[in-house]
Amino acid sequence: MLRYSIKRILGVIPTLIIVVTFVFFFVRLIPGDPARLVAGEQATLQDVEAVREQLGLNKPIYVQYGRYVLGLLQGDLGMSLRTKRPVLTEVSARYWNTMALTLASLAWSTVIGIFLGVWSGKNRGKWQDFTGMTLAVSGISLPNFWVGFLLIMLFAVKLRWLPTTGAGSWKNLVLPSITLGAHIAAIIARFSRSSIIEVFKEDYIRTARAKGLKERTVTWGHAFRNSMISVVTVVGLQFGFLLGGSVVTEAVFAYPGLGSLLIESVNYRDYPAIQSLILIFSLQFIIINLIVDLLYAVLNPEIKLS
Amino acid sequence: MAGKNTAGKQALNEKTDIKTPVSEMIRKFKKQKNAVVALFFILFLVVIAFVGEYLVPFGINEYDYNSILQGPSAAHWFGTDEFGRDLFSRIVCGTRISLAVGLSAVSVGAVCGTILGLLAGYYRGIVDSIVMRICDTLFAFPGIILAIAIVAILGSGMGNVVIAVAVFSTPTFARLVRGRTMALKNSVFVQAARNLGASDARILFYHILPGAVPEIIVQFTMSVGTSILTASSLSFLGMGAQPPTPEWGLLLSNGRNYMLTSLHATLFPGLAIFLTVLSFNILGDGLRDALDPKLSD
Amino acid sequence: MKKTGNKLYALLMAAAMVTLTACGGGSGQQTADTKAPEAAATTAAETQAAIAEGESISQQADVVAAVAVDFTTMDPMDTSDTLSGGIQRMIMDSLFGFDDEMKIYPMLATGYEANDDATEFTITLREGITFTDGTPWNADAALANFAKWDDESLGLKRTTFLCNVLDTYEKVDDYTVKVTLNEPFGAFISNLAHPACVVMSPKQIEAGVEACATAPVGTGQYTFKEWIEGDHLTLELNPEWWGYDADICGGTALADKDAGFKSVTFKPVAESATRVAMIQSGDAQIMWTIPTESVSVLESDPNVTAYVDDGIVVRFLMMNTQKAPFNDKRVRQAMDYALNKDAYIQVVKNGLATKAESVIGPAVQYFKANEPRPYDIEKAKALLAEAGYPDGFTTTAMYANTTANQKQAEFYKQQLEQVGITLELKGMESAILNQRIQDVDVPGSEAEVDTYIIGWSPSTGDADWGIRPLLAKESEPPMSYNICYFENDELEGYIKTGLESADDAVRREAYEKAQDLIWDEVPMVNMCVDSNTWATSSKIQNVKIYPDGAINMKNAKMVK
Repeated sequence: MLRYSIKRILGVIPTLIIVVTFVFFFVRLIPGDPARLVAGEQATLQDVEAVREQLGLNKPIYVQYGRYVLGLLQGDLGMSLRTKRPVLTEVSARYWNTMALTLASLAWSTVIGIFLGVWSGKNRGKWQDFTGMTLAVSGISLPNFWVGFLLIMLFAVKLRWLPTTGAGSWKNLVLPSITLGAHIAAIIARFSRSSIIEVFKEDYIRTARAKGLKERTVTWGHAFRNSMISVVTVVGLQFGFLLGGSVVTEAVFAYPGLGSLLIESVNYRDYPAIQSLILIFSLQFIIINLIVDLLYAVLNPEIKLS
Repeated sequence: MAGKNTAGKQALNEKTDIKTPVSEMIRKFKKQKNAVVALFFILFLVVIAFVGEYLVPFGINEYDYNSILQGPSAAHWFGTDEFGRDLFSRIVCGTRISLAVGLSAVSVGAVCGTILGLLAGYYRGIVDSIVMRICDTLFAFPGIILAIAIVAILGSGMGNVVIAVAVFSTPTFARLVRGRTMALKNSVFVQAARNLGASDARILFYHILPGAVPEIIVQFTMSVGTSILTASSLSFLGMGAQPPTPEWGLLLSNGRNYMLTSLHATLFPGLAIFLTVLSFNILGDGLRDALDPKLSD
Repeated sequence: MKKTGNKLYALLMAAAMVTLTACGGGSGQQTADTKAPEAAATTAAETQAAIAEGESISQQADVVAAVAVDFTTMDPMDTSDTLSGGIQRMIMDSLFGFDDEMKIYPMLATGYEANDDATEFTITLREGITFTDGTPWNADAALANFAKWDDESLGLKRTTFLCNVLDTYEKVDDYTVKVTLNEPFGAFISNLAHPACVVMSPKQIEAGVEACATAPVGTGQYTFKEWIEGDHLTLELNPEWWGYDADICGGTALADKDAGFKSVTFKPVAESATRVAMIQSGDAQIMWTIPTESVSVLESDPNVTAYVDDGIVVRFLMMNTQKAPFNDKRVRQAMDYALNKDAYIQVVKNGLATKAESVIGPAVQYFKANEPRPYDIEKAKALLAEAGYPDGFTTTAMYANTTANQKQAEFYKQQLEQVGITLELKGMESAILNQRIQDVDVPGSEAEVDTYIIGWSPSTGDADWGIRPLLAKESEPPMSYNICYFENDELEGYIKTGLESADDAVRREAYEKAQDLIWDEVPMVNMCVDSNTWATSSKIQNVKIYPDGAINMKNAKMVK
């Protein structure tokens, strides 16, 4: 297991080098001049050139690349062009916000999603299946900015139960996590359903039933545990996506996470910030994949790691 | 003679008995009542997309500054927008655009993904590594972020939204088809075809591709819904359709400033998107249920 | 809305009292009034009685202000957005400021003397003031600030603002400094009232630019508490502020003893629908700007007071005067006749704007009103026919694709259709727009732009900055914003006179003639002057937005 993990982790390095290089040149392909954007509206050419020099954007591209890579090796993500603060400072504050929102969204959506999926799956073809799946599919069929605004109107403006925006307390997480989680719950529900249907056809379930075990025990004791193997993969994948920050939901709730930072950085063509964010996204995606693989092995001992 | 005849008959019988994956799929699909309803709703939308503009009471750009943001009435079934334009007419005429974006983007993605998947799965080796590495990289990004990056490079507008959505739906198809190809490549009938001297192209498109079609259809249906949603999110971020296009996402996004006073401005475009995406998703679920042998009774 | 930031109001307002009278009331705007916000409040229901001295509980109140954009830096010299500048002005005072009447007002200075050439200024400083870090305010502190303003090597965005004119600055005595300029500059004192020139503690300046950018220290009514990137920025009241002390202020205190909030937390909320929800739900007590569509909603909310006041952003449709068909003055005039400004204000601005009467707003110095061309389709068609376009033509409009710009663009398209002009809309992200419009170094006839939708407010409050960057030959892209590619020798002459003269009468004459000329030539169709909008909890009084868009809550009070 340990050797496998180390091998997997080392295998990540070439991918990261490709990502770093690719992203560095890719962001510079996006039209738009950061010096002009940073200099602000109404800036004259003289101002723009001064800013360009100050930000080091007038250096040849290979010099900029060299500096960036050298910095990375020393753990320096560079300086944000927009705020002139270290990118690391900017990212770290928002990172935990995104993490909190991700965990909150995943927590409820996994529970609801699995419940809906199992419920629909074991009553396949009956009204429960129809209701459960329609509910779940509704979750992935709604534009999430619309859902977000409707939630704000209802729970923040009309009822005044919850705050509209911001981060910090659990209350801030409720509305955005509902908005984000509806999608995830639907995906998990679909997977759980297929998974449970498959498992129900297995011999050991028949055996369990034949032994006269209660239906509830069969469902939750036997079928559920085995069907969760594939669900773990889905939850892991969604975890990775959510950690990238949700651009739309964060915009609606003015939530200070990575998604809103990405949009702002793209608007300002803040190269160091965009590069760092994408690097972080790739890195965590890889790590999560690794964890999912390991979890998979734990849940299903039949899989041999090679 | 007789023996030969019998053998021929047997072969004929076998042929009628062997169900192609597609016909088998159709048979099972018919059992899924809600999916059938969804299919009819989608067909209805397609009809609307073609004839809608001849049926609507108002032109899409017919403004009336004296009846701005009026609620639903006999004259304006869905009310009017911020220029006094008839929302019903705009939504009906927008059907074509929203469907076209979803369908064309996913079609492009499906074609590219299928070709890449066939090549990767059939030839393996370096082709496979390159294709799959690219797909993995694309997978690592949530769709919307990839779309933003692409639109940022190409500029906003419907055409570029289609390209952006197509790019991020490509890897899904590539992976799926690659898996099928690898499984079918070693099947008896492909081996037989190869022994008979069929070209690679013939094997790929006549023998392997049909086997992957049902899965492609399912994925296609599901992706259309997602694409329509992504296009509307891009409109919300100001990177999608440009006015005065009556694209649903744009109508919804424009209406958000009037949510407190004129709920109808978001309600109807929102419902249009919701019902359409819902139909595609239910249809996709139904098709998958019908197709997946692991799920069949 | 691009190009509307940086409205550093009224640089030369000291001399511009006249313009205030010129702009008052006469515009026919139903709600606007430049004076007290109580009068400007659009909620007519209850006329707020002023909160009596000692009745305000504001100093026990922590308030939240929801604002449209994120802050960029806390270093005034590195600031190019109005919001950051406004917050800095709460923490740091300047040598000279503006009072409610927009008159120049000595703050950390008590007065100045200038020589006749306007090259030498002797400034006397106010005594008895300390920075919130304990450093005393005196000539040494002043010189430290001058040195920073003059230091080009720091590479700050606003450095070109003063470093080109400053020559030497020296200490005369502990409370007097003498500044010598490179060239005559009559507006020097007004420049010192610019938000970029608020005064920082010398200790902070010594600590370097990064300290200045993240933890500003001044002499102001508030102290900087924290700035959580992307989330909020919090200021706390400085009860020891010298502005509360009538003696130091020289008679009348700048603010009542019970004015000001215990703390103010600014939250950037870009999504305007969300911002409106925040003030309605009580999550914020102050918010600006209100999207014009939502003003009526807030007016009907009993817990919220919505305010509308004159602004200085002029909205216009620029035309590339070197490209056909806009190289023909008759076509440009036809465009002006074809666009219905009243309908524009009603439909696009929800009635919250005034018809433009010049290329600059009424609050800008040397403003001269011209009679707006009436909405007249027949006349427009006749002019088009005369110019050789009886059937109209097809052209394009470029703009940054914000919701507000898109609404304008759609309106222009609808209107121009009436006279046979087909307007193709080319909205794009502002970074890309900048590149396609500004980073081009070709003659106007080869430029991509046909027409351009933009709003502009002179960031110095002076007519010069409302005309030169937009219409002088030297300002054609990539230098500045003459996207009309307008070249007119007569106008060049007026601009030159206005710039080089220190004589008020001479400048006025030049700028008035310039405005007449622009009105006749129509390089851009001037549509309207935007109103400023803001809202507060109805318990709060005396929070205002100045015409330039900056916030003023010096005398803010609150009832239970």
